[in-house]
Amino acid sequence: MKSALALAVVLAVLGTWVLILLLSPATPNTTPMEWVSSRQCMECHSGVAEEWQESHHAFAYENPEVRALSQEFQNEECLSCHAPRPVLAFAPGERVLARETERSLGVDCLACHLLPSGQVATANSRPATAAPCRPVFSSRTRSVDTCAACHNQHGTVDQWRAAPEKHRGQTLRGQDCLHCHMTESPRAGGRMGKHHGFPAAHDLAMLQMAVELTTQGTPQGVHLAVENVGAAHAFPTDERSRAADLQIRFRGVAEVWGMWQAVHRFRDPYRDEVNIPNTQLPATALWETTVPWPSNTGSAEVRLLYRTQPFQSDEKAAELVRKLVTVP
Amino acid sequence: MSRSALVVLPGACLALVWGCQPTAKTPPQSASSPSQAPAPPIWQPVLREALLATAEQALPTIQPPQHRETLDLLDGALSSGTVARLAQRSLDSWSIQERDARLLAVLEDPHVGLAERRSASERIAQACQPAAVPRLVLRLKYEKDLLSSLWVAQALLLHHNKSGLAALHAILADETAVDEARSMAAEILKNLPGNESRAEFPEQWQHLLQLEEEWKLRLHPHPVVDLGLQAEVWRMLQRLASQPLRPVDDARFVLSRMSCQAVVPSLLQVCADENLYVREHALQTLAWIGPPVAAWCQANDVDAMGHLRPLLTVSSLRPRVLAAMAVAGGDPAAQVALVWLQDGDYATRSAAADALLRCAPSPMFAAIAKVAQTQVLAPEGAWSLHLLLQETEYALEPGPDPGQGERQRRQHWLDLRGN
Repeated sequence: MKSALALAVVLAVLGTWVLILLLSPATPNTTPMEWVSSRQCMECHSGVAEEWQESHHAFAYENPEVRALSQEFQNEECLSCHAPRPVLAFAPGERVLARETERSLGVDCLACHLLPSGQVATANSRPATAAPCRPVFSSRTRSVDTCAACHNQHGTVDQWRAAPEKHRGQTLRGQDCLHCHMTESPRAGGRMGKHHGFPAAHDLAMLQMAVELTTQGTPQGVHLAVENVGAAHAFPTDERSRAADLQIRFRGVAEVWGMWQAVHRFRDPYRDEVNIPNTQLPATALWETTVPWPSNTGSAEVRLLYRTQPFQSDEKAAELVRKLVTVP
Repeated sequence: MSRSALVVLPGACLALVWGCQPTAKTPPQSASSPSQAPAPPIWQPVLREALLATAEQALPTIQPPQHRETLDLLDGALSSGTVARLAQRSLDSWSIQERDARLLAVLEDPHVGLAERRSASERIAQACQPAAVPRLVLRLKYEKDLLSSLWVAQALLLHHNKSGLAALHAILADETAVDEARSMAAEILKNLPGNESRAEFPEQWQHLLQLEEEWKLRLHPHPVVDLGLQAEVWRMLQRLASQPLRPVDDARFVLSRMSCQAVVPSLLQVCADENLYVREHALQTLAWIGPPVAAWCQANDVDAMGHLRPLLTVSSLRPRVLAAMAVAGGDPAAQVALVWLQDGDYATRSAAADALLRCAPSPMFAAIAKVAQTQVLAPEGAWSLHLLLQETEYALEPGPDPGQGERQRRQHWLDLRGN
């Protein structure tokens, strides 16, 4: 009886080991990889990489406008956000510092996904731990503070924090920046991920969702109203170089359009621009005016242009909306 | 032993074995987490203590009522008769420190009118304390009025700071600049130290160019740093800790345009400050100042390497330390960089390559080439070594293009090797 018991114990232990070996996921090389360049990430995550390559995060260093404004990055302060080190290596909400290598990759994978421990962070609460990069869940990858490391330099995140939850009965603010700037995107295996194209100020559709222009021809003139209906922060926001211009032109009885005339500029001025007020349109705010009809006018056309820098020509600016107004 | 034991026992063993399984391996917390890793013992409250110790010597802070009073008096002094005399008397009644602080506050207020701005800058150009120098240098970044800029440049010359010569140069070279500014610039040029005996403009202009070159290398006697100036330098260093970037940019602008005597000792000290941003930007500023740091350290028997070497223990700081060493440490720095080119991680190897471009002497080229051939370098580092060795028998392939800005930065470092 005793020998049978001993045999049972031995068999049980051996069986258990065999069972564990069979059930355990194949463990790749236990030596953790050193993540030094986002090019390593792109080897597996080609779909995400393609999305990212179309984004202004990828373009952050190579962007000719940025290079010109920063004098080819001889103004080194620009590098902190245009070629940042991993944001997660800094305290939540604190600014990030420039990295020394692979700067041409701009705001790259490691900038948001590399933890101080050297591990790869994901916002997925059930990470694919068997993947070569062995990601671990970190709520910080999608936290507002992570974006704030760069995007609060001009107060955008503070504007978002001050914005109401809802506007016109619709969710405005969302839980975080991803609500608007990282929409759902299909991934391999039928699951959904977050799109890494980061649509924002360079995306016409996104800009058009932010503001609404209403026009009305009245006996007194053209009544114009611009409302920030969709951006949970000011319009425009972030870089002070951005401006939105409301313009109007009139058509006389001779059916000839006049020149475009400036009506109003929405913009946060540079710090050294004295006596120029901040005319950003805060979240949900409404700005309105009435432009008198010139004599002998039959109709007017109104347009809203968005410029990534205030001296950008009308032709190069993005036209968000154009409306025709007639004399009542 | 019952049959049930034969069933339960394997289960218990299973649970036991599962419990003994190691949990998922977590790589050790590396020192590359500047904010989160516990501070190594070398970090000290250098800046906090210095600010406390020098608070009395710093220029006083001007409150809004005082500021309004200054503007009123400047306005009054610009009028005539009794009002002007009374205003002038009040302006003369302040202590030198208070006067400088009030006039600087006027210059720093973007809403001040042109007449008051010019009046304040003219007054400060006539006399000011060395403590005013850092904030005057900052005016060079923001002042748009040409006459005020020239007054500021002149005020700086009182204290042997030649940062304002660039403004003088720009106005003289710009034929479209207003005549008043051009004639004032010509007057300052004529009175530049060393120009007293030069009657003709071309000679005076050549002297200006020479002074500018000398200033870039800080080839001039370093004035003794008084306590007021030292206090203001510490205040400027405090801006490096700012979360908004603008104050950081301002501080780096100023600190890299001061005499080495005034800033290098403090910069070396705050490299071990408790605040990571202060450390990083102090190291960066040393690297920005460039070769004058090494020359000054050598002339003043300051052991920059002694300050910087312990910081190499912190991996996240190492690239910045190597950059600062490259401008402060001479040949010993190159030896250190070569070691890190071989043994460093990816970012450190690249920084070591950059450092070698800036400071490696030619006898080291063979050793550098040998190590470089065994290492994978970032595009930036590979480009640095390519530039360093390109005209030698050890020439290396440039590798991927690091981008125009990075190529230019490294070309500038290469050009500085010639000086």
